[in-house]
Amino acid sequence: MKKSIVNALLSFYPRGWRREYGPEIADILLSRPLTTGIIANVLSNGLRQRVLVTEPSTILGLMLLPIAAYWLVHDQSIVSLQTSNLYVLFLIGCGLWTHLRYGGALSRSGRAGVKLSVIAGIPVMAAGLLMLSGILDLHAAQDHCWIRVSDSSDLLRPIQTATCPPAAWGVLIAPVFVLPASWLWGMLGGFLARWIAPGGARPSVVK
Amino acid sequence: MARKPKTGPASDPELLILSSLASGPKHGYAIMGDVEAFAGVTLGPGTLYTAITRLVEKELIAPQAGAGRQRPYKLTAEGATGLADQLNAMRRVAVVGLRRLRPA
Repeated sequence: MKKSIVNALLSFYPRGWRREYGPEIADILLSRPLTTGIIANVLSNGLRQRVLVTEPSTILGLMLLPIAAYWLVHDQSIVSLQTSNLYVLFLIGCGLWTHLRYGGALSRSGRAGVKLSVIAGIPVMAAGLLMLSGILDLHAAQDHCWIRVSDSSDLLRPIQTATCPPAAWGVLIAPVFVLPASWLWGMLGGFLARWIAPGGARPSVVK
Repeated sequence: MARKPKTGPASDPELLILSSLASGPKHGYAIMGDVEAFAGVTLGPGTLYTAITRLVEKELIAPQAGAGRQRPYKLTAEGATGLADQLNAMRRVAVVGLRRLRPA
């Protein structure tokens, strides 16, 4: 039983780390009582090690996933998150963090921004797939409708929600359209990192 | 009886591990016991191995081949120099701080 708990605790650590230090820490854990404090200590340090070996774009993308899902459900809009200032800050932060960690060319920060957008776009793409399969019927709220057409008086006005539900294919591929901007914002983050810390990247961590 | 440090440089896991290894190679379990004995600080297993990972990456300590599952770690030359520098810096601050605390 105790061995299973220890193995479960160690599964929070990255595989490379477990290969290197797993048997040693397992020995220590098996030789003393597993108190709540020790379990919390091992868990928090395991997550810390995981964060150290996970790419910033993955961490920030996963952080944005629930926000993207919430905005999608709450605002019924597929673009409100990607057009927000918060999203731009995440992209710049992602590029900055990537450059600080790995250094190298600025394009790496740009690619990190793209990866973040792909991860954060998963809820929207999932909604598109559900719409295609007929399970979901997403209605864009009028305030957030991004398509405008001219009426008979030649004035631009938003299309009414009732007459303009977003097309399923449009929803599915919508995240693709933010990728070029994501690349640029990521690059900007990398540029800022180069300006803040011209010294270079941190030493590598155990994978 | 001296108070146990809870924060500050005297409770820094990396410094405590380096100080422990200054008396010779030890494995993780022995380091925990030694640190508890000389500093009164209980290092959790997660904290201990996170600090060991960092010290190995910085090449301040190095693992040695061990007989069992526990590998002993030894202080490298760079680690010994770094530890001496840190302790000397702490001593300079401690001497001045304690002198200023003394009533005139």
